[in-house]
Amino acid sequence: MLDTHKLILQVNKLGVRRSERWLFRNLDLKLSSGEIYQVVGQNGAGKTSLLRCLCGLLPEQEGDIAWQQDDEMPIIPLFYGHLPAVKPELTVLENLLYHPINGNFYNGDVIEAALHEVGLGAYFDSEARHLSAGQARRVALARLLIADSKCWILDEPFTALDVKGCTWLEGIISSYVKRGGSVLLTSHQPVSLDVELKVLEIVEDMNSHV
Amino acid sequence: MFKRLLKRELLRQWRSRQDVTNPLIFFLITVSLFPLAVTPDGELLASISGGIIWVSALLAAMLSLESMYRDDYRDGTLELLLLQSGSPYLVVVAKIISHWVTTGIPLVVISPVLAIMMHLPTHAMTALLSSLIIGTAILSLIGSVGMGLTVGLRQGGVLLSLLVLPLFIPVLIFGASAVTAAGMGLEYSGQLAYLGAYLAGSIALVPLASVAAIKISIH
Repeated sequence: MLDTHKLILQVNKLGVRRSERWLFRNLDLKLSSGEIYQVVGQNGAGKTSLLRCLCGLLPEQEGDIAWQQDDEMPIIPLFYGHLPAVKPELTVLENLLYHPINGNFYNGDVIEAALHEVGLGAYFDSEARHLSAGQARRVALARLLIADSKCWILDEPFTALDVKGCTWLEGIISSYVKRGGSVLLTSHQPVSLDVELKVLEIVEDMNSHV
Repeated sequence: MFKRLLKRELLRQWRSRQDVTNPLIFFLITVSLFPLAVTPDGELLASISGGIIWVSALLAAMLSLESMYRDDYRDGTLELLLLQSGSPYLVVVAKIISHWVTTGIPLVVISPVLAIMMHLPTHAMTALLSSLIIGTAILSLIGSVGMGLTVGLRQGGVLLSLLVLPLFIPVLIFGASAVTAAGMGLEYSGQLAYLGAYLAGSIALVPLASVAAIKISIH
């Protein structure tokens, strides 16, 4: 069980620039455990850039991002992006077995349980090249279930999932937040969760926007 | 931790054996074309065989560099590995080792066959093998930096060669001259020592440079 209302991430006056154009400036954000934010904005507003920047995949040009400590180690968020990061030449099981999550490798039992949960119980030993796009996304989603992470960063997590899969994922996210996890997500489709969903809108200068 | 990263790389290479055999076949073909094109005369071949084998091995190793990070970059694995593995340096080192084991070692293993075909004097065989072992390891190390820098580009092939070739040249000079010297019955430990020094320097610096290069590509 994760303890609730502990600060996870603090962002001060963050600004991200793509070549000459500022995507956004002066973005402030406080994310505590048990909170979920949906990042909204037009196409090209910088939603993905913000999420990648928070993970450390994109350099920030202004401001600072502070992940809080957890057992003396800074928290590593679990990033689930546009690309599923599933190797076609490895089997479904190997894809999870040999892929580090949160600085650790996990063992067979946890992985098998997660694969059953995402509905790939029958595909353990099939090579990932034979999976459909939605199934490959499910392999990537299994990583969320395997690792005990304090924060999920989900970039368009509902892409390529079927209707049932979307409902299932909404359930997973809700129960994770109820357990004290914190989530940042972007989505183009309406998200219905049974927890309070806070909205963070991205505009060019966050100061002018209240 | 490191063992699983390495196992992942080797397993991947094993599953895509086609990519691994390509440089080997290239090596085999280029070397065996020389007697046809130049001369089948044993004496002449013996004097140039060291250089030919070395140049072909270098080009074959360069051919295979692309497979190092390209696939992982395209499907998003590379960025997750950097983020989630705890230490990006381990990821890079695992990739370099697996590249060397799957490309460098096979090149070294088949080189004696080609050496016999090229009439390389038998007393130069040790020099060829030892210089190639060290040389291919250096190629994998330096190639990892070049590949890390160019992995984000759509047509990175030419740039990759331009970036890494100057760094490969000293390896080629010392490697080939070790074989030639041994063929003439001279001492070649000096050349090997230079190669060893180059290897030690690369081992120390390459992981840092590779991680920095990959970070630039991912941004």
